[in-house]
Amino acid sequence: MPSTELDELRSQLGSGAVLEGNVTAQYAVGELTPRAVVRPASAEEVAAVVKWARAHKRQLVPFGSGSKQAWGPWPEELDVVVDTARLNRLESLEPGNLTMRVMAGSALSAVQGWAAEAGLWFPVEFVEAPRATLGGTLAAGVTGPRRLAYGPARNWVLGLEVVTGSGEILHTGAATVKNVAGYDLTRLQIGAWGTLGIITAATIRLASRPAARVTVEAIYGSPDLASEACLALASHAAAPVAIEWLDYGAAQAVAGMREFPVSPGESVLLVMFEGERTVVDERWRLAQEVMSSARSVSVLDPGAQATAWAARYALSARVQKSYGQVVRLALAVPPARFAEAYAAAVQTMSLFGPLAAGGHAANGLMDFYVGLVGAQVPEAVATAVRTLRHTIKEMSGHVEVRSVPREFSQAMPWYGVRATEDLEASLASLFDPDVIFNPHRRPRQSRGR
Amino acid sequence: MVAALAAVVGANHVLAGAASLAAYSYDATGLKRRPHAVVLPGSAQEVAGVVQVAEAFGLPVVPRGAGTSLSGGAVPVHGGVVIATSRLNRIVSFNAKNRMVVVEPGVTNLRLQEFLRPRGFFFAADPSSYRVSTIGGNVAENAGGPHCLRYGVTTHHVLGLKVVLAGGRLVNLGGPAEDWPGYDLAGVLTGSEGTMGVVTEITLRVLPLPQSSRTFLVAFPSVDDAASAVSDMIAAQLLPGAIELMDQPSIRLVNAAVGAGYPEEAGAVLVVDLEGLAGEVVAQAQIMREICQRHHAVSVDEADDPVRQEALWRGRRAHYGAMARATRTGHVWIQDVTVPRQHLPEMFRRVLAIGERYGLHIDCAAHAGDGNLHPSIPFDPHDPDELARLYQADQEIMAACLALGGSITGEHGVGFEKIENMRLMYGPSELAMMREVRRVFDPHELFNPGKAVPGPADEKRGVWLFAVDRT
Repeated sequence: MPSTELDELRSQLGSGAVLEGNVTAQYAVGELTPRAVVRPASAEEVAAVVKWARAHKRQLVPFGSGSKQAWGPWPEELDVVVDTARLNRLESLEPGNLTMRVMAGSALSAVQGWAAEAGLWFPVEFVEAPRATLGGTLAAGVTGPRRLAYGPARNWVLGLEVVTGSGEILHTGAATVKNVAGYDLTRLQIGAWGTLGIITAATIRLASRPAARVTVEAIYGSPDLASEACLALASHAAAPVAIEWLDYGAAQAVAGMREFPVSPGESVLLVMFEGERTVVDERWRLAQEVMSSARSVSVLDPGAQATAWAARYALSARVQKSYGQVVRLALAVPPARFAEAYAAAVQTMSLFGPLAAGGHAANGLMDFYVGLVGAQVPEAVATAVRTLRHTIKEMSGHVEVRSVPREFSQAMPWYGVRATEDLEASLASLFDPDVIFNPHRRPRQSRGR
Repeated sequence: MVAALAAVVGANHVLAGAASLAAYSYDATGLKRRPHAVVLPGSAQEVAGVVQVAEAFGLPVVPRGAGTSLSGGAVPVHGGVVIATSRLNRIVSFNAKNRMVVVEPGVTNLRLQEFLRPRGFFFAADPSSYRVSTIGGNVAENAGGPHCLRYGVTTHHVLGLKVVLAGGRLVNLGGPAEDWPGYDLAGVLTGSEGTMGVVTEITLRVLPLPQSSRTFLVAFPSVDDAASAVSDMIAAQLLPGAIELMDQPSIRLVNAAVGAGYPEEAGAVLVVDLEGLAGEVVAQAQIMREICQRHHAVSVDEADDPVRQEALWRGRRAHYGAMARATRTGHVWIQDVTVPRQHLPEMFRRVLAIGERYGLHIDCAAHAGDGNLHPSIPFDPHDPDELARLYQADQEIMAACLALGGSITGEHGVGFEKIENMRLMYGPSELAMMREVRRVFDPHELFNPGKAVPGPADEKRGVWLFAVDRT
């Protein structure tokens, strides 16, 4: 990249906001080091970067903390990373509206800190990495275990400031909890993986900060029994805020952090209740009604509760560490098919190596990890994923490949075939006509320039 | 054209006589525009066939549920073929374990609720029109209602949609599993007011009924006291199922109309539902009472049996209908502005001041917990002076709401009525992008033209917008 190109950016953003050389290695995406890193401090500066990229036919990868850059296909080239770390200010906090306006490069932990000062919290979590930014979390559309009670990330965002691929700054939504003026461009951006724009700020809803938390740990003889309990709990007046399921492999993977008393074939459920102290106690007692098929049920003391959840949150990192080469899949089915989906995944993937799975069972969402033992052929793994995808589709669900080792990326069927892919490609071309943002994540039909 | 439509849906299901066309020419706004034809398809395939016929004749397609839109969503402003969903009225499937129901768009909200209740569930959206409005209409308008405060609006509960797009193309957006891959196309279609396609099937997540609920009717000396109490309830992080506010004129109106029995001398009342576990409701009620006392509440009536609860709700639910019946002309202009909730008391003050300035009588009811106000202004469509004042007052109410960071519509939709006002809320970039997003789904702007997002043809139309056909 000719240095005069970057000089243009330096003149607009200041020389400290454009990085080259060794320092860019920490922004590697898929083992590729960017040619440059820019660090804009406002939506206007992001817009300037986008206009520069258009003029010079450069591609941009938005980058928060980098915690999800390993998800999805590996990029084939990497021009410029847009680091959102300087977009990190709280713009306003309105306890009387239970809302906050915050810049998108703010860490979720910072967002929670600001909310906590008003006795509130933001129920969208990325438990694998608290350093994850708000913008990255919304772009990926992820949520944590509490989505059972609070729903997906899209439900907690009232409006966004987004810079499109034309360098325009769009303001979607309003700071009101109800708003039906015009189309919902806010929801469209969430989960779009930065292919429809760079989110620079968000107006988010906040929830009451629960005073107390109790976790019940239950061991079930099979995934079927565990799943049945999840389904019953999800409709029960006890109203748990989270029900996390772990299989034996997952319990083994996190054993250094928490020894779940589980044998092969068994499942662990962590059932979380939150609210006022007295209400929480009433909730978990009520919940026992529908947990009688468990081999053991215990109410965790505060210390055990903390380590149990820390272990759950560390599952991904632990699996990666103990298995080395890992294929990570995201399965989603109607909740009643959860155990069936798990059985199908085990059957299809077990020939490659050790397995581990955990998930929001009552929402029908599962992270499925396959350790690759020995020299596995990428095409064989790809074929197995296709087979599994077909089976899960028969259950009205879907399978996405979250991450694979680099040499598997090319062969991998990352996404299933979608009948609406042309519509998605048109939307991508509308928001980003020159294919500037995250080209490796674009809908396939619109990837070419 | 009628023959071509009849070939798709059967001659019995095409209406083209003058009386029929008149019956499908308006919705709750009152503006009348006759369609070229009305069809009542019985399947998604028939909807697709109808869309193809309309396209071949170059006519718009206007989807219609029960016609309860308060923004003109169902009025065929440019004529065309109205697709009435009344025959698409099956509850296709229900699965308690999945907490999921699949319905056709013509199923009414009430019927769905009555289906779900004995099974231990409910659907969150409960617009005032719930007795007759359809789920298809609720999805098109992203309907709200009193209980959205705790449970969220329609879009929060839509998992998937089956939709007929331009060319009669039938697609599934989203689906019965969560986190459907790709862009949230179902989220874009929800609330798009029928401008992108015709929804033929809806997959909804439903919620378990609360164990316990208690309804309160709290009377205050003034609207300001009541609105301030609401602000404090939100700030205290109470999470009621609903907080509804009515001012004194509204109280007297519903008392006269349906014998609501609300305190006549009160300046305002709040109707509050608290829901959850029995103990939780008791604890929340205590906090709520304290807040109300602090804001000079003069009486608190409460009920926890369904019959009495419904009685406390009767007045609130009857408000709009009572207003329309009580006016000289039967015409009421009903606004739908929403403000950030800390500004609720201020917004009430501004609305009442605007009414005074223009010599208009304004009744106010509000989904107060959501910051969503419905100032209602009776008017005489044959009085040009009053219409002009109404128009000015309406513009000022929206300006006041936007100045406080609000939205020009919280739940009624843009329709044709607010299409011009969209420019007050969004800049040219946002409006251009919305229009282009629509054209991704509907390249020739065939579906429900003249609604939701302004195009070049939607020039300023001034006072004729006010819910009246004066021909």
